[in-house]
Amino acid sequence: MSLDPEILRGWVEIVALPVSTFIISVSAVQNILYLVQLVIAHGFLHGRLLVRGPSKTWQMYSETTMPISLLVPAYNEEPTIVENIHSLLALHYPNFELIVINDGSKDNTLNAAVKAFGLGPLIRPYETEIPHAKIRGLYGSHRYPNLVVVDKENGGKADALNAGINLSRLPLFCAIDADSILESDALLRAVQPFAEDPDRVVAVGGTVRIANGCQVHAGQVVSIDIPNRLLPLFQVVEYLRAFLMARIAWSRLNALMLVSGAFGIFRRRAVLAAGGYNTKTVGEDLELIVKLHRRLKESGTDYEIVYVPDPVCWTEAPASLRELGRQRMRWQRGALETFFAHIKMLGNPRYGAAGLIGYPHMLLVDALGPPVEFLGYLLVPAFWYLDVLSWDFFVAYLALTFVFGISISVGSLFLEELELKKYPRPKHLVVLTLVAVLENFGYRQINNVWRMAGCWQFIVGRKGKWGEMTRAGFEKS
Amino acid sequence: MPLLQSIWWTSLALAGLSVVMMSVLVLRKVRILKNERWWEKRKGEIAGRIMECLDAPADAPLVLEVRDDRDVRLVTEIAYELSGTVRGETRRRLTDLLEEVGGWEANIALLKSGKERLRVQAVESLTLFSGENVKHALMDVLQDPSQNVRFTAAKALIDIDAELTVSDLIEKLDIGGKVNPRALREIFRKIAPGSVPELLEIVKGDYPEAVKLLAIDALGHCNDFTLIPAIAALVDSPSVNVRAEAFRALTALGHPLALPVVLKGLSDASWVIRAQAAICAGRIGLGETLPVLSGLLGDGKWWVRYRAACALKQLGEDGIEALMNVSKDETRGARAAKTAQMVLFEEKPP
Repeated sequence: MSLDPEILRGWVEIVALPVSTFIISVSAVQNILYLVQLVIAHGFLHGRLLVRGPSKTWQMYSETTMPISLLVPAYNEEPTIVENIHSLLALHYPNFELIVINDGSKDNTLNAAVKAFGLGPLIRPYETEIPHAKIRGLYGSHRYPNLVVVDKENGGKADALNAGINLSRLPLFCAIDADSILESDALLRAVQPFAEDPDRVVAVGGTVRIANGCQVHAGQVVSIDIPNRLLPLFQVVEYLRAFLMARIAWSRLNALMLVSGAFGIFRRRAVLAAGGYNTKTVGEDLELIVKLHRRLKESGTDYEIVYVPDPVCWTEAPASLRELGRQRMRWQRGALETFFAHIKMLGNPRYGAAGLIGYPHMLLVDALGPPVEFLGYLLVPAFWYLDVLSWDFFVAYLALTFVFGISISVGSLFLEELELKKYPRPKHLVVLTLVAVLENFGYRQINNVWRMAGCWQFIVGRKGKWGEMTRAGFEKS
Repeated sequence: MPLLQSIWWTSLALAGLSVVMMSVLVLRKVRILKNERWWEKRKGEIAGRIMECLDAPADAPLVLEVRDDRDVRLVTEIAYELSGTVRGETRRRLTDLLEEVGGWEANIALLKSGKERLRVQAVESLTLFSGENVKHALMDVLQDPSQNVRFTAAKALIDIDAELTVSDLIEKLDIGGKVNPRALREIFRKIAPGSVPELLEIVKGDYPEAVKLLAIDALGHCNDFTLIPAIAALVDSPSVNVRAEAFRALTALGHPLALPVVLKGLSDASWVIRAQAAICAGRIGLGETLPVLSGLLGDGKWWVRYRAACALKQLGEDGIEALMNVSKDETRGARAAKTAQMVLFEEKPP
């Protein structure tokens, strides 16, 4: 039986208008939100007090800090663990302990740390409020009294962090990736919201930036540059957009739904009350923040989750399509797992700004965004084939979408240069502008394919695990 | 205008705007880099000249040529950076040099700047000078619209031993509003010895809780044991924060007169207070609390058990013996025994 092309065309014409309207509406709402975020972010960045340089930061803030436990989960980090521990121990902060959690590494991560720092077995009482995989041993040294290395059975990043939270004895903890580099004054800056509003602030996120291309010496970024490869360059622009617009804006409205797993500070008691990190999802950082919003609102607690743009954590971005694809699929799967686990918050006034702004934004960007964009790419050739596509309108709309996207990226570059000035040379601005244009032709589309693959993994219920990433390592100066 | 045309015009306008914005940014960056290079070069020259002046014999005249306002700003900046490292006669010469080039007038003018950052910088730089003029200028700054500027001025006034009252601070710094309580803590502690009656008034009066907590903390750091009854009375407060702060203040004072309230705190309904009272008992060395602390080893909250065990360890031989007994006593429950064992055998790193 064959379908009459005329009947098919008739059906498509009936369906085409509402579907196209839906796709255009979703995209328009997304773009309007970007614009709102840009305006709010500019207002905030322009109004804040600038404190430049590590010595000035120390002078301004060192007396007002609170003790912090740095929790560093490490899995197969043998080549970099020693340098990373040295770098973290050298942070400018008056009172912190460093807890490195070896999450059942298959390589010699533990031995490397034990040997380099002269560690020996340690007995230390700890709370057992959050369940986690068995701890095999604790290690410390009198030469480094604020360093504890935990050796535990493998349970994933969230599980390792839960063990670290139990072991920590300080009011705040900071979760950081073992392969990330904190700027020396990042903790001093990031802890300020806790000092300013100790009763309300439960979590603070800092900025994560791409370190590819930067010169690293003794575990510190000594010279900032942009990556010399296209894939990390695209990610620089993406990170600028994400951190300088969405996070600042939603933080101002107390609707911040994500504190990056690479660098976030939390009130330990609040996280314990929420049950710690969820080990069943690959988006444990997102899930924790959403859960904190949910629990705190349900218990009627007055709280704040804050993003501060100045403290910076440098991280190595995936430089190959394979690694980046895996990362993006994992992010998408994690976002959907969290979205559906707490879906009762969606549009629910009981959850305040998180339910009315943050969650609908997740719906738009994480749940609807990828399929809608994908649908657009599928329908254009189909409509063209069936001759229901208005080419004039299509080309004009496509141009507007691209130009708007570029303008938003330019807006975030504008904020970066006007208020933060991290990139030191004019050439960097020119290259990043060109990259903002270029990302629309290929990168954006392939990103969407990865996100759709992430959606598929979520639908078929693939189990989450701590993804491994092959790293090229930072450039040494 | 038809829809299609408006879409194209919008795209064109956005594209044009983006190009203009980025061009302006790039040109601005080029100019900033050029200025920075000039600034660094000139700063090096002036810093060298300042060092020569500071190293010159004491009776040599201070001569530092400045070309314009930018040079004066540079001298101020260098002087402020050096102020943390120089003392005595050298510091006096530095201040004289700054006055000689018009640093005082420049900073006073900067206090009127529209930029908060520059006003903060001016306030900090003014602390390089001495005398009544500085106090007057800084007192005026306490009226600044920016809380950050007012706060910096208050800190500067405390550093130069100006007489500031608690009510001045509360009124001028808008402490009832959103302000960094940890930063204020140092200020309150510094003025506390001369402001005890006012602080006691705050503790008893109808003030916001944040202010009360600052006052309690300040009283606890006065080293005045006669304040213990007043602080002890606060452990009956309905607020957990006030009760906890009172125990922290008693811990800071470290006097055995606190015993009755510590015993009361050890049986408080809030676990936060029980843990805080246990810390207090351990730090002061209140042997009379030993049976109660021993009982708390079976508390439902880990922190209370841990703090009680630590306090017992701090009490010396009797406390350690109590911990040993609990660690072997099967009737006390696994929780109590485990906490006692862990704290007893907690090792310092090798």
